[in-house]
Parts: sequence; structure tokens; C-alpha cells
Amino acid sequence: MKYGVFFVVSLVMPLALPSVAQAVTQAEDIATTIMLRGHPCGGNQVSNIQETDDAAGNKTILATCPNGMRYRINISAQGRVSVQPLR
Amino acid sequence: MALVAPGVSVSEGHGKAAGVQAEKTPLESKPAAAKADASDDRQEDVDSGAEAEPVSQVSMDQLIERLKNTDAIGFLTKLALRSDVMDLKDDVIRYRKDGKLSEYRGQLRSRFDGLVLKLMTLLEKDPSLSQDIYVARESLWKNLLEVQA
Repeated sequence: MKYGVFFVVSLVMPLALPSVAQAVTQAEDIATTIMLRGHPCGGNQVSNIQETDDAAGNKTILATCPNGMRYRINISAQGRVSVQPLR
Repeated sequence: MALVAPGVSVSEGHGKAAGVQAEKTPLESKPAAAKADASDDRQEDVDSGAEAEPVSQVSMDQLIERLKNTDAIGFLTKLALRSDVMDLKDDVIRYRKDGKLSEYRGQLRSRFDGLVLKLMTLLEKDPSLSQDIYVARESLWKNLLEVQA
């Protein structure tokens, strides 16, 4: 197994993480993820966060950026992340 | 088991990471005369990596662990980065299978460099880890090229 590329892949961790104090808030984390995908957000924190889980283990997060754009962040059960603008 | 890059030995933390030498950065385009053969490409990477690597030494296992534990990046962001790495890895495997790895090597390298830059930017609050990842980037690139399906 090649470790090199999996230095990030090894971040595969259960989606249900125990609660741990994080230096990055959820609002900041979501905003960063949106910007990481090349979408404009207009700030470092999102608001109006809504989370839903389906039976297959996929998670959907809806959030509004400071620039008014609302995004859907999909997290598959396998840990794949995608971001779509809603408006 | 720690995987250590060639010419690299394990050290703790980032204490020795400050001695980054001036070098040909992997972010610059490689000369157009780069050989097309994949094995030659790897050898070229070894050569350039050997002369580019500074004295500072980083273990892959330590990098992985530190990246997992850093508070500088949120969990969702880590997953997003992982997705990007997985996509890159899948493309490497696909291009190798199609015999087009050499043709797309430059494009893959650009994507890899972009990921490293993103990671370093995100690790603004963990500068030691950021620096160590930068130091280990050639080893990471070599391992990416060698990844198997």
C-alpha cells in the first residue's frame, strides 16, 4: 500500500466522529469547503445550516454564505464531498 | 510502519524543517525535454527529488497522524481534500491503465501542486505541518505516480 497519496486518504474516518473541541467551527468548516470547491462565499462563516442524513449514510448540509448564495454540500457514505449552488 | 522517502529519515516534529533549500520548485513546469516513458519519469522524479529535498526529514506516518489531528482544518474540509486526492489517484490509475500517464503527467502534476498549495493555505494555523508537507511533496508525488489499483 502506498502511503504517499494516502496521507490524506487516511483521513477516512467514521463520519460519526465523537465530539471534540475544534479550533475550526462548523460554520467556518463549511465555508472553507465551499470555497475549496471554487465557489464564492463572501466570508469565512456560513449561516442557516441545515443537516439531514439518509438511510444510506449520506449526509446533506445546506448553508447560506455571507454573499447570499446558498449551497448544498453532499457527503456520501464513502466520504466523498460535493458542493452545489442552490441559488 | 513508517514509510520514509528515499534519503529521508525520521525526526520528531518540525524542528529541522526550517532549513529549506532554494531549489527548483515542483510548482514550476518541468523542462519540455522530460522523457515520455513512465519509468523514466519516475527516475527523473527521483533525481529531481534527491537534489531538491532539504536536510529536514519527515515521516509519512507522522504526516498522516498530524494531518488527522490538526485543528487547523475542519473535518468537512479534510473530507473534501480527501475527495480531491481520491479523484487524482483514480485518474493516475486510469491513465496508467490506458497507457497515457506520460501524456497527462503535466496535468496531473499541476493538480497535485494545486492540492498541496490548498493544503498549505488551509494549514495557516499549523505552520509546522504546512512546512513539513511542503518538504515531503516530492515524496508524495513519487508515491502518487506509483499507486496501484
